[in-house]
Amino acid sequence: MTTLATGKGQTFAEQIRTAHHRVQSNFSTKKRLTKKDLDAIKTCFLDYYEIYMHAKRSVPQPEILDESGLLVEILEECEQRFRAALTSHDTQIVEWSLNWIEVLQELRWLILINDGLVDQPNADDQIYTNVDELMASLDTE
Amino acid sequence: MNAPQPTLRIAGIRGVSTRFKRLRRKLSPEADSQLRQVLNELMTGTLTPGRNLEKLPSYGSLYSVRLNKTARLVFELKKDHMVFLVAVGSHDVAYRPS
Repeated sequence: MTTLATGKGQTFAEQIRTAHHRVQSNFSTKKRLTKKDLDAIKTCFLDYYEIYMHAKRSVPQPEILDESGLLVEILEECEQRFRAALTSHDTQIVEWSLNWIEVLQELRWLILINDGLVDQPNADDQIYTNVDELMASLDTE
Repeated sequence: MNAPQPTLRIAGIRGVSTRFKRLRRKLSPEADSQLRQVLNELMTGTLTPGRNLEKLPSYGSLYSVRLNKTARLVFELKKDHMVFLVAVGSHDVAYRPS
């Protein structure tokens, strides 16, 4: 796998897993997130953002294909944790959580888009001009 | 900031990514119904402004279009106006208070 310049020798997948582990290990076990929790994981999100910005410049890139879907699952799980904080009465916690959900979503979509673009159509792929036929074809796969 | 695009009319759909096929299976019935509706709108050039069609500036000829409040479709527009379906799924930014 390709090593990205920002990753200190790590592959793209390793960078995301490392950032995720740092988020998890700094999360409070309390039900509600506090400002202290969020402050502790701030640098982890700067890591996520750096990974995102670097990878964005080089899409499509077969080397960062998430064939098993595990990276997307990791990011979705992390996103769910922050969604729970959106009910907080503290507007700053809500604002930070929203910002981080956006970063996670952008990174997740970058992976989805990269996966899709790596998988380019073949010259002999069927052309659909009728949406019902396309959907029926997808239903049978 | 992504600039809004004028209404687009596509010639057809040529190719669906493996990732798209997997993601489609996770869509809610309502979102899947909207996917069908959006593809029909693209085919007939009747996409409404509420679909928020956007060209994704960093990815060449990729476009994003909204299926509902929480899901979107990303496709690649080819020079012959055929599209390749890249990805579909949730992108829930609608909850941010204005």
